[in-house]
Amino acid sequence: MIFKKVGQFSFILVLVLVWVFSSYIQIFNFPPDIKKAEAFATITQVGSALTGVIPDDATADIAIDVDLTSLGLIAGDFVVVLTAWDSGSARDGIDGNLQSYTRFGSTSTDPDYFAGYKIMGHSPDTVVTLGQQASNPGPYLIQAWRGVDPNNILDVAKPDAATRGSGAPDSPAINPSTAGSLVLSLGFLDDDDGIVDSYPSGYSAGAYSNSGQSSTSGGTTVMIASKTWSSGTENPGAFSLSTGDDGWTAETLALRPAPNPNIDQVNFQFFETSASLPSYSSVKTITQVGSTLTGGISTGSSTQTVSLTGLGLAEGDIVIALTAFDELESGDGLSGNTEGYVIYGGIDDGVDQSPGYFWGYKIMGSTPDTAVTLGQNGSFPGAYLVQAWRNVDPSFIFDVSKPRPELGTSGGPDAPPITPVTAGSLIVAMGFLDDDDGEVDGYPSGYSSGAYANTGLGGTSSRAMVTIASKIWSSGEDNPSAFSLSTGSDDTRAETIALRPLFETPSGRMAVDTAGADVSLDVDTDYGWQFRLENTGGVAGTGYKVQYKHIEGTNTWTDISGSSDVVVANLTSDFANGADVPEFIRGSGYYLSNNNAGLESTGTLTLGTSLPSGFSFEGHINFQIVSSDVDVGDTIQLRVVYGTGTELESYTDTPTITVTGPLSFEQEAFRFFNNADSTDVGSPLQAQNTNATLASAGDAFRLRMLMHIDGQTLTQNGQSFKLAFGTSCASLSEVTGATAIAFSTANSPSDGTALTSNANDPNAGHLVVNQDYEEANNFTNSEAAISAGSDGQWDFSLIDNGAPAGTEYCFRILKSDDSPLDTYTVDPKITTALSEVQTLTFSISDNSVEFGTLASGDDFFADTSGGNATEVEAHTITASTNASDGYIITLNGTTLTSGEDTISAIGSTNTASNPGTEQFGLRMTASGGDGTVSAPYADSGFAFDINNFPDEVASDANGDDVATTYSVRYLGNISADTSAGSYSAVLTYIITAGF
Amino acid sequence: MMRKITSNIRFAIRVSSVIVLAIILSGGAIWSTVHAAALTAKSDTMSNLNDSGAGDEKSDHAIQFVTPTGVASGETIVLTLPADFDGENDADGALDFSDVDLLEDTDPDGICDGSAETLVADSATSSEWNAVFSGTENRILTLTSGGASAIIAAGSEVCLQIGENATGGATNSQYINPTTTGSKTITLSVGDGADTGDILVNILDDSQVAVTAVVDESLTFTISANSVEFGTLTAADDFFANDSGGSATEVEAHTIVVGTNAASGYAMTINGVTLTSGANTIDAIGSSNTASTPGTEQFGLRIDESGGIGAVSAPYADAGFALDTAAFPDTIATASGPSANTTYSVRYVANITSDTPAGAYASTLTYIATANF
Repeated sequence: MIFKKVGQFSFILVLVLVWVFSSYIQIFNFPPDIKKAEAFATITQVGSALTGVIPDDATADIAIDVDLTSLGLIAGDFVVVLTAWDSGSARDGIDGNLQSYTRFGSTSTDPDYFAGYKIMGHSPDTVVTLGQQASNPGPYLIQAWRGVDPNNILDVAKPDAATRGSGAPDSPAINPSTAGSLVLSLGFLDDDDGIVDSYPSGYSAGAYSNSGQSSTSGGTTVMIASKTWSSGTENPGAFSLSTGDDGWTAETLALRPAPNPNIDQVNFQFFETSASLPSYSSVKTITQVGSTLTGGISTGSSTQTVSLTGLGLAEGDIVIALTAFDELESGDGLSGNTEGYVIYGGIDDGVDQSPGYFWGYKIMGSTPDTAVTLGQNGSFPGAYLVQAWRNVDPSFIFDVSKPRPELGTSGGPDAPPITPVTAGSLIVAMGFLDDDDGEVDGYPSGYSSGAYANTGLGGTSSRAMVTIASKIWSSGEDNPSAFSLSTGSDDTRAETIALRPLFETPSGRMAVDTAGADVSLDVDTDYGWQFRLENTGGVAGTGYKVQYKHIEGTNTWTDISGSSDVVVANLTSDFANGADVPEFIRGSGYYLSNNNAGLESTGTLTLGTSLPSGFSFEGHINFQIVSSDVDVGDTIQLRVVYGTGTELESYTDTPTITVTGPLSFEQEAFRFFNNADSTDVGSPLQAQNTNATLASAGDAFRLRMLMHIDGQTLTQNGQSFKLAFGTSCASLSEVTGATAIAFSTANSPSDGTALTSNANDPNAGHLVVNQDYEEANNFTNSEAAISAGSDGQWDFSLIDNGAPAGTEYCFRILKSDDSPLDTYTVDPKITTALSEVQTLTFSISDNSVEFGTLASGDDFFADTSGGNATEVEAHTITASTNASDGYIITLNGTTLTSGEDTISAIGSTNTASNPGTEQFGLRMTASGGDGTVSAPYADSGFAFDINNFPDEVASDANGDDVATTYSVRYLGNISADTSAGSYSAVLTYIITAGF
Repeated sequence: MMRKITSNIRFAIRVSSVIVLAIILSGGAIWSTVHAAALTAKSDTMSNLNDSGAGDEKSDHAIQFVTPTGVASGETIVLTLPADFDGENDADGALDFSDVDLLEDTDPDGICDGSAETLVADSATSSEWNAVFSGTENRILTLTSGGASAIIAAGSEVCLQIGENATGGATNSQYINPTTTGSKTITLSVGDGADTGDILVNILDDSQVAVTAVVDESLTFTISANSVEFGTLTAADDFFANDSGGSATEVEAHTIVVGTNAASGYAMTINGVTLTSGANTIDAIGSSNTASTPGTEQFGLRIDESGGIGAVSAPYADAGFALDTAAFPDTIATASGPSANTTYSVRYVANITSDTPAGAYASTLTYIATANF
């Protein structure tokens, strides 16, 4: 027995020495230096020790699950499990554990003991599985501690176990480096069901457990006690047993305390609006790129170059390379890679190289690699397998941390279970087979894209095989079944990873903190800020709050709350305070819970649990920038602090917000102009910002208006507007081509043509960006963008389109959806022509004219003095109007009549005087204005169209209000037999104006 | 500057609040504003522009306009005449619906025509209009649509005829013109005020011109020759007088021209004796138109006329001759009315018997024209 143990010890010693002086990757992360002057958390016990017995089972292997929930574990807690057997074997106790504990122990000591520890992940284990292959029971003891540095669990390397043939366990001395380290003294007593009556001096938290057989044979006892170390070499004293005295083994561990919380504000993004918080509603499907490349790594050369050109790689693709050897030598396989692959898995805990393997990955850059170089440094041939995948999140890569590799001794590799968090993750199961050039004939159930490679040399010695298969994960734990081998059966290693898929870019995302993207945000607008905090220190508390700093204001960090100035927390109705937010900031490492800390409206964030070391969380706050407290162009920063107000330890990313707006529109200035058939305007009707009155009904005119843009730049064609008018500025309707005040399309330029600036254009002291000549709605800034603080100018071609006279109309620019501009500093008003106080004049110079005595031998012309033998003006008619349609004058009455006798009217045709023939008629001439005599009265002859009475004798079509004088001449002719008598005719002249 | 922006933002908020309030108070219809459209092509054609200063001068009105909006069911057309127009005191009675025509022309042409709407005094059916005069001296005419079939389509030309120009004609009453002269504004409100407009008319002291002329009475009467001769008569042949010794064939001895503008024309008579030589005479041919018979004592005449409306009287008008000395002064020609000159061609015949005493025979015949004014 003793020779056996000496041999085992020697073998282990040799292995350790070889390891220490080899170039193999160190499996323990020794601290590079003694920690100096850092603040560290205090390691405290979590819950009470759990003790019990793993019962024997003479007929079959069993395993028990010890419930851990009573401990109240959180992420980052350290759990240590002690088990022992009088005569144990592999897979006994913690060695048969399924939860990936880091295990140590031996079956070559008294007793056979298996111990292990583990830092709880983001979903702390609820059980610990303990195996049982022995024929006798074994005790277990479980303790949990909080505050252990998850990244450097052991402060110093575990010293070799101490072992004796009798007495009580006495743990070896240890020399920690970090004050506050917790020294664990672990004792394992053979044969006896010992009872500890005292623990090493100065140690506390002592506990023990025995196999409960009350026997000194076949039973074992495990015990533990701890002490916080401060300085010097710590050599725990022996446990004191009231019962039990036999061979024992003792171990000493020094747990490094985690630093104090070291939270870094590392990432952020803003959203346009918190009203529809974007989320990754879908992920891209991870797909294989090209075929799997496989082959052997022969010993004939120092490197093996695997061409990747056939894969069709693109930027962002991930290439996974697996290599395995019977025994690894420095630079073998992927460890000899020169393309910068990240080695992410490899030879395990040093117990054995079974086989020696490395696997790693690389995200392709903008110029994807054309080859991957694999090393060959020894006499062992290797195997390689290369697979490439697309749509893996290059920032995150691994959805969750990979579990501890699974070791096997025969059969096909059996990858460990894994529980991703992101649906769509690709679970990749990898297997490595020792010695044999295995051949896979079956991949894990439900897995695809399977492939394998071996050395290609055949045989079962000094060979190796790698294999891979994958599946898209949706929910729950996934435990890949073992690869099935048609050839080969030896020691195996198997790993499982979960590749996180790329999320579809969510809508509404404004800026993600890539390349230090900051944002410009409008005032009084809902935004969301999501941030990610990483804790690389000790366990942090649950309380945090968000602060702002208004650089141009107080320039001090101030808490954001629902009533704070400058930046106010503002929860929109769509979200419940504290509700989980979807995960959409991408980062690496462990996330607290479901990667979120909840929506917050108060500015105060309360996590559901402490933030462990090595974990991150994301928080989201909805906020608004308060317009009354800032000015456009101000800058504001946001950050998260501890709930106490203490700053986080670091702020890698502190976003800076530039206050930009909102974009505002102000109807700022105007001027009325006379129309011009041009994109230029005529002379001004009035001074700037002065209302005007049209000279005449139906006048065309131009209105040039300045719209002041503020808050932010109005991009070209960035907003559509319309011109509206109304008798009240509060009661408007859209200007059309048919409204009372209408767009005039009579000018040559087309609607939307760039306007021509004019020296008389309105100016409000800002830069004017001229836009268009407009003769129709809608319009926009089609010519150019208008920067904040500048004015856009438009030129409206308008006309009085039959609007009531003397009526004032207000003009306003509206947005095309009829919503008003933000401000109307001016309201242009045009008043239709006051001359629409209608005018109509009409006069007749004489109401009585006479021919005197007619004679058939001559023609006679009426006048006011007895008639005339030559044509003479009898009287005048004068008329004028401003009626838009002018006027007409009609004549009504009879021909010269004397009793029953008449002198014939000359008729409807303009006819020359013909003495001796009965003729009564008239002719007119016009002077002044633009009234005209109507046919048939306008020519040199005479007419009297009595059949058409009342007959139009004159008209004026344009209503220019200029008087026209009509000279009326009457002709009278009689025949010889014209009856004697006194003839008369009453002629009625009627003027009718057309308004 | 930044503070100004802030102020502007605050102001904008306040303005926005006011606007929102306005929207609420207005039932959210702030941008769906209806503004009064202008009636177009408005005119009032009157039949008389004379003022009533010297008496009731009445006039028809033909009021036309085009309504952009039209008149919907139940809406009104309101016509308001200015002061001094009087629709109440026409001797024919106060104006009422029967004195009005309402015409709709969906294709405006400037002419007062179109489809006539049915007007009633009240209780209009859905296809009728109530036409009600109201106000001082009925200066307001309100036409109210009775329903969906009594509407004016948007863009229609409407003509309102009031007075004798409406159906009913001269029996209709009319508006009495104002007593004062000058411009008078007539207002229109159409479609419950959706469309409005004014019309100006101009009232004069006198818009009429009286033209007079005098035509004097006239009578033209001339005799072309005052002495004609047969020459020497023989019993074997008939002889015809002329101014050159007589003719064996019928010839015009002289003419008489008569014309007058007398309303009743004229009458021309002959007087005198038959051919006489001392105590001897050649017999007058008598009162019957008798053909020339040589060898028989005959002295007579016949007359042809041309021009004017004068006509030869019996028995001198036919182909034979007569000389009804018993009826002297005997009418030989007349004109029933004013007549241009009529030229009478006078032919004399003389026949003797073989025993007709020789001698120089002569006869003086007196023609008298008498106009009947």
